[in-house]
Amino acid sequence: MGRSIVVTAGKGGVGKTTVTANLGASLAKLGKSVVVMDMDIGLRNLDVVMGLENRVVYNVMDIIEGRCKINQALVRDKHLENLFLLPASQIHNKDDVDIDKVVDIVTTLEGSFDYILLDSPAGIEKGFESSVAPAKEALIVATPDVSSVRDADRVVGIIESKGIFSISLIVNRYDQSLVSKKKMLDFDSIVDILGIDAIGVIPEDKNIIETTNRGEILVNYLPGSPAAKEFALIARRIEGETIPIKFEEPKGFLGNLFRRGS
Amino acid sequence: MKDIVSLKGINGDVVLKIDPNAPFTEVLDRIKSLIESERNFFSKGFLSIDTQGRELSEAEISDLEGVFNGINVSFRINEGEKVFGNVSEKPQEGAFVIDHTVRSGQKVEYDGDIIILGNVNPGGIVKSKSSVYVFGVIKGEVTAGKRVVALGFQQQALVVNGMEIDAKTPEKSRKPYIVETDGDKKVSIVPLDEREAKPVRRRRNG
Repeated sequence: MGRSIVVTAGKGGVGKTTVTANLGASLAKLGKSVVVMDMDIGLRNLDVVMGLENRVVYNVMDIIEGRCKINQALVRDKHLENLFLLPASQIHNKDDVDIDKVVDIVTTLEGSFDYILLDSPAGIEKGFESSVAPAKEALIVATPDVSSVRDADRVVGIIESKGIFSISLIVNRYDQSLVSKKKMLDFDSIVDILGIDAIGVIPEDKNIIETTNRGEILVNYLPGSPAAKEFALIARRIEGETIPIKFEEPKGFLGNLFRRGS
Repeated sequence: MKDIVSLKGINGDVVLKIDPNAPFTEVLDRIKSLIESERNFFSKGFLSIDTQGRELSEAEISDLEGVFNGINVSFRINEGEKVFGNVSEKPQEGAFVIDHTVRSGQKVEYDGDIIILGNVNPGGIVKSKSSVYVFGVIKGEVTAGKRVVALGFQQQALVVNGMEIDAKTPEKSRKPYIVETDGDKKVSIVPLDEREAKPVRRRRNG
């Protein structure tokens, strides 16, 4: 019986899609079968981020409107054979989604896959609702700034009121050097407001933008980069391992000095 | 056995409580022995008498005057709750208990007391015509008719009895503070443990 987890934030641009793709890939690398589902109907991105946009034939609206079966819409990842994408439609919008049918689709997928990760759109309107309704667990993505944390707090409140109590926090784009200089919200302050357990703190990683534009998933393309390593740890924590959260110190001034000299 | 007469410090006042049913002669005797044993309570020169609903006759009042004028103490007799502001010792029907932090976008509104087992986050709203008790830090908006107690005041907005309050407690402090107003619309925000008036121990002067 698979686990259906919604990846959401409230705030836009904090990394929901990147987290969904990389977490899905990390779980797949642990041997799990994973479907990542793009619920941003009308503004789909998960296919682009995974470099699969040319391989999309059917999408979730085709399933809902009866034009295809579920497995006809699933697109296998380029590198990982047990990672699949269920794309969103680009020509519809969120009002076209029949929430009950989405719940049915996810229930069916739970029968054949270990994990279904739902990539939620930004906001708290119907698109968000249709990505939360089928989920039994939630991952809240927040960046270390007051707007993001305020939105995340709102979202946690809404999700709790819907009866989902397995809610974990992923702090994204954490920059320990800025935190040390008090220029960025620190981890403890974030957890103090949100009051949910953190399952990972992903460091700011300049490789993300490059891999996104290449249509490659970071954990596949550069598994040694700082963010990729944390995604791997998050996947293991989701699987039940107890691994403490640590904050990476970025390379210091001396590190750069030596590199320039060589 | 309940005391026929008792002395208390309430909100900076000295209050003499009289049992409503005991015979007045006994009350007077007790007051006289209290004056002997608890001089410090009377050194303020002023006190309030809470008759707990009992009506005193003219003769009884002048007996009291006789006793107190002898030690240079003036007094006033309560008119029920009015003198003591909003401190009512009657149990009230059900407080509204919220057993979680009030998050951004959540609103709690109730005419009676509200108890929050958690914080009030920024963007969260709590409104009561009575009192609000927060077992956490207020970072959002709280409006109360009577008083507010919390472990920290970092409010976006705080209105008690119609008055806006900007004062905040130190950011890391987690000891309980109480915000209340008296009948004259004066606002106080004090640590909860500094609230009870302690009897003034003065040396006896001539």
